[in-house]
Amino acid sequence: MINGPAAFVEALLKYTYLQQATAAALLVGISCGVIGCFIILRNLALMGEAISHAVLPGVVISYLLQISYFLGAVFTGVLTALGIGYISQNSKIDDDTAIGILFTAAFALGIVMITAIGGTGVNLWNILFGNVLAVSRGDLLWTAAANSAALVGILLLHRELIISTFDPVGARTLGIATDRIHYALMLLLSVVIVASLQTVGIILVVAMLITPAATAFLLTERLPVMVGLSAAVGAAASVVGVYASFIYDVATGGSIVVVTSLLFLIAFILSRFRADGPSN
Amino acid sequence: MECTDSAVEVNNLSVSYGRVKAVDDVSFSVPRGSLTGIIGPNGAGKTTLMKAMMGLVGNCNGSVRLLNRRPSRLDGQSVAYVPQQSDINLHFPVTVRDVVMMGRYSHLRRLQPARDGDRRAVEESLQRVGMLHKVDRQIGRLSGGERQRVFLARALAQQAELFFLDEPFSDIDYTSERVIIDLLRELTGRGSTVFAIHHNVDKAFDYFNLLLLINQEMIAFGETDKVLTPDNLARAYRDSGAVIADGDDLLVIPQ
Repeated sequence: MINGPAAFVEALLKYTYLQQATAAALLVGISCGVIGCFIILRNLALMGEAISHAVLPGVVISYLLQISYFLGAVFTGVLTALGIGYISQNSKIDDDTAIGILFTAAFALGIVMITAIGGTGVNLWNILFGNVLAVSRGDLLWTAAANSAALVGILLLHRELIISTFDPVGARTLGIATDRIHYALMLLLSVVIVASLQTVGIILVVAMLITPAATAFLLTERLPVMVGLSAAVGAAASVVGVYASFIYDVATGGSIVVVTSLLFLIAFILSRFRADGPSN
Repeated sequence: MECTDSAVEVNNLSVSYGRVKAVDDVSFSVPRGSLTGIIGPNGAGKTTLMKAMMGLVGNCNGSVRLLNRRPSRLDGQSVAYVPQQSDINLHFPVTVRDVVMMGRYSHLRRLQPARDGDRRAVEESLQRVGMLHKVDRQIGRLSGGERQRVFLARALAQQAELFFLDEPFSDIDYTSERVIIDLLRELTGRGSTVFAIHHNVDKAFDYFNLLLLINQEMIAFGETDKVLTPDNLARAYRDSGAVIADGDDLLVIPQ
């Protein structure tokens, strides 16, 4: 194990697949970290969970239509977010319940579709848990494009996002359509989640959205610093996770999330012992 | 004749949530430069009325004119809002400066960085509420009164004409109370129009020149001393407090 890092770097220089895996994980860590800050500040962790599960039927539909799985997955992810908003605004069912109903419905539909088409067309295990070492050059390009698009979207909307999160009523008096901002964020969230599927998979992607952001939230009281720290935590955990997965031959998604969780634990302990104390 | 001069005109405004009427048929108008208190017991629909006046409530009937326009026709600069303390997330990672700068957002184009003029407006506004020395504090690390002054500074930085404040005087220290009321008087003196929700009847005499007393329906509207009669107060607070009148002295005891 002494020469673990050296062996990893050597392998990284030698194998294209490992380069692609590391690059994909890095991109996912960064964009999940950035968008995750807005997700936790808006208390939307459960919504992240919902959208990540709701992409499953989209993946299957894309396979049947022979199109990139990105398109179908983003489509069913956004559709679910819209459905959750529609139900909670047009009935006495609240957000929490609407999320629970719709994400399990979509996920169940996906499972039924996968078992109906049978065969080896869609690898359920890879979708659920990710398989970053199988990222192809084409996948990497899609991941890069999707993450860049999401980051540009966040940049364009950052003022509206900040004020509509902090003071929704005040935002509307400033002429900001807070509903539209919410759905724009859901679209960007869907894009980021779909781009993360190969790295960490459906089940664990929510960890990449909330754990780095929560870690950063504990360490700073400045939003720009929080966004930067969160991206850094996501990126570092991704690279260390790929490394651990390569060296110890364990599942990549799992090891990335374990590393992220450890970083959170460290931040939590640090925040308890800070001189000025946590403002809780 | 009053329609062209009035800053805010509300006609037959009602808001209902399902079968419950939160605001029932309220009509009034106020001239520019007035400082109006909205008072009434808990659950009287004060906040709902204020949101409906700003055009933020979908399920309402009746009409609202702000500065002779429908609320939806306003440009996002002319109405400033100071939220209720309890609606603010105290852990949100923003500083005093960040919050006041939000008042400048509607003056900036997308992605346009803050200009020197915006930064000056932020600092001048903080100076006016006496909070410039805490410009880099996180918003949760202030007292309630200080935080209220920071949100008022945001409204100042916005350079609005209409100000809506939701319970600006609740749970604040004496200094903050003085700073806020002096500033509201200065604003109305220069032609701005201010509405403030107020929870208690005491001090309404000192604060406001006009009062709107509601409990779902409008109980009374007009000059403060004409509205604050034992009879009106008894009607407004019939289910939620005691009103004691002794000659010219009034006392309302909330539950």
